[in-house]
Amino acid sequence: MAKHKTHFEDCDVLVVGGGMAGTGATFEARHWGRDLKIICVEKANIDRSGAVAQGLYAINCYMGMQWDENQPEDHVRYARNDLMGMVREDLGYDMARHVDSTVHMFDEWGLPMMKNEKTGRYLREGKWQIMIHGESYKPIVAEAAKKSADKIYNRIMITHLLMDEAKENRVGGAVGFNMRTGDFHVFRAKTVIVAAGGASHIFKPRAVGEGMGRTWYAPWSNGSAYALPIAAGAKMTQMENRIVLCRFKDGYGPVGAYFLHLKTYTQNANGENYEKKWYDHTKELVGEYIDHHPTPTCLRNHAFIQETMAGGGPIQMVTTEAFQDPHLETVGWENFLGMTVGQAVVWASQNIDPKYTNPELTTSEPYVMGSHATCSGAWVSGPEDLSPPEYFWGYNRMLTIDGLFGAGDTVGGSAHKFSSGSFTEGRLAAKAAVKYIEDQKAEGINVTDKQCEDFKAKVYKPLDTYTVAQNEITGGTVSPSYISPIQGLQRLQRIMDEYVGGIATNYMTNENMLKRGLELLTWLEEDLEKVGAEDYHQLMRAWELKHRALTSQCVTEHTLYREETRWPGYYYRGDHMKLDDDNWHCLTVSRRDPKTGKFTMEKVPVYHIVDENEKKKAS
Amino acid sequence: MGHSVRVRREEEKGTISWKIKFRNGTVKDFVSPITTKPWGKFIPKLSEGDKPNQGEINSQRLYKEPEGLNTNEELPSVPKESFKKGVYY
Repeated sequence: MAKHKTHFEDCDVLVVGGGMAGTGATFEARHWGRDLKIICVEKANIDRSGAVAQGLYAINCYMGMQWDENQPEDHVRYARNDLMGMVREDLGYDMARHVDSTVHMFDEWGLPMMKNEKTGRYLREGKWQIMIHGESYKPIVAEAAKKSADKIYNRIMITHLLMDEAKENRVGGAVGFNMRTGDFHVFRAKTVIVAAGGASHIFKPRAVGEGMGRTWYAPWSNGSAYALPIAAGAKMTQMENRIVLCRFKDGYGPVGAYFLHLKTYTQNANGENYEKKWYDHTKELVGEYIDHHPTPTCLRNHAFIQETMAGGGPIQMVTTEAFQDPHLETVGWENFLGMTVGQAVVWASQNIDPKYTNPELTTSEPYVMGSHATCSGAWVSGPEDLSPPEYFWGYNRMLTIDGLFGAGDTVGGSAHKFSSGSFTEGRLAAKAAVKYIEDQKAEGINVTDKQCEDFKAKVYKPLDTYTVAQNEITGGTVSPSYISPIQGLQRLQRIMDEYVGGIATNYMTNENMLKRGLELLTWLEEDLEKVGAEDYHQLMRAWELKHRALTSQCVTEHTLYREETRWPGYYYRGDHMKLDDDNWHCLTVSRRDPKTGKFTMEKVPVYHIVDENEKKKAS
Repeated sequence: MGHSVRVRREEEKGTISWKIKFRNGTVKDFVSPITTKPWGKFIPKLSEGDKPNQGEINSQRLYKEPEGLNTNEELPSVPKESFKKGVYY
């Protein structure tokens, strides 16, 4: 232990994670807190970190308020409909009313925006999306954060939040380690903004063996967005609301530009439109929700899954028509090259030229996240002017722990933020954090050396476990006394896959399976006390796994609590196959007691702050 | 095997180029811009910019708002009297 040096850094605003939300927070914090010390800590390097590391070909959330293309209330209606009636509308509206100013800054900073030649406006891919040449989206945005921060720490994984010992339920900073030097880092902070990543790789992925690690969402997003606040006792919401993506097979190439801009469409192996075949069946499950426009994403997935189970696969994207236009062919290819280059590799390796071959689609393993088209995450306060009393406790985007803020994947209830909305939410959280400090809410924080030392012992334990237990190996690499991070990860993925609604059961689960899953997760938790790490990289893997396992427990508890199938196509409760608005038109909120590790669940009412579209038009 | 996707990113030129080689030998080339401005030159240093106005921290505005929205209007909001609990639209 003594060999690991400890570095202390005291600051005002600590941003955990330097993806889109974290860079937004770091950038904005400087505007409001000119003399504050602002630190951003990132597990990779902020130039290429987070979900936008590889680039993006579209900004999926832009209102176009200046041209009255959309208004914030339209976005609330859209997100609410896509999530089958339930989002935190206050958070969604708040993000939407600010997001255009974020996008206009990106344009000023040099992000290449495509323009509509006729109108001069940003080129629309769909109602909400605008198209960009975004291979360097992240390095451009990172530059802005670098100019605002006092210091950016790269290659440090934050493992735990520190709590104030002077006042109950107040944050005091965070700790982590540098995976290159092995040094321990203590950040004592007045406010902490968790802007870490959502959870990929908690369900067994389709890509195994030579494709291991290929996932739709960033493979390094290990659920720290959730595990950090859950471990500290913060409330979480809608953690059952996992997402399954319809994507090009094996490379997870996105379909948005193909559907919306290139006007390609799907068909089953016999060339039939299979979606309409499943209309009556879906209506039995969800009632009139199937008649909504646009059709909620989960219901389109549902038709895909049913058709595949009925033997109609492989499902294909019809590209051979659109790709005869050389311009559209270029758009189709560059769409991958600038954000998911692996899809181009897959097609090149299999001689799939979409000009002549209709490529296969698949539905992915589930992911848990709060920034894309689902809204799992922390239960946070909304803005003062938009939030009903149950949703407001003083500071925008503050969790149920004082001084702890969230943005991006961390924040639950605010779906369809995507890259621009996550950056915007980071800005909102940062401003609120500065106000919290100005209001003298962060005075007298006491974080003792003992708290830091205790965490230090915990953080490095997997190294000690390995050192001791490897002596027990008599042949090969398997020790009777420890498990490696990859073994633990694969066990976690199987539990989630087989019991919590993964691909093994075509996304099906029920009360008995979930209870068995929780039992197995408890044993995994026990065994993770004996995870062994042979170097600092494996130590990172060990802590990523622990964060994933804690996130998974929360997901499973939530899935057990909601006794309905709200989102067929994302997962099914076989014992409650129908959507049940009478009992479950509400948000689920959980809290894990940090002392006992037990979860408690509650229902919280949904507030609709925006009216129906038709009514507004009539008025 | 036999396929490749190669890339060259040039910050000074502001472009990125890709060469795709299929297993069957088909080759496709693409070039995209990565920035429209000299690298990093148009990104502001906020510590040197105008300070927020007195009391603005208590408003709903963010940096460069509301003018950065290009709407010539204040930030929109929703009157709380219209909120509805637990009903479905």
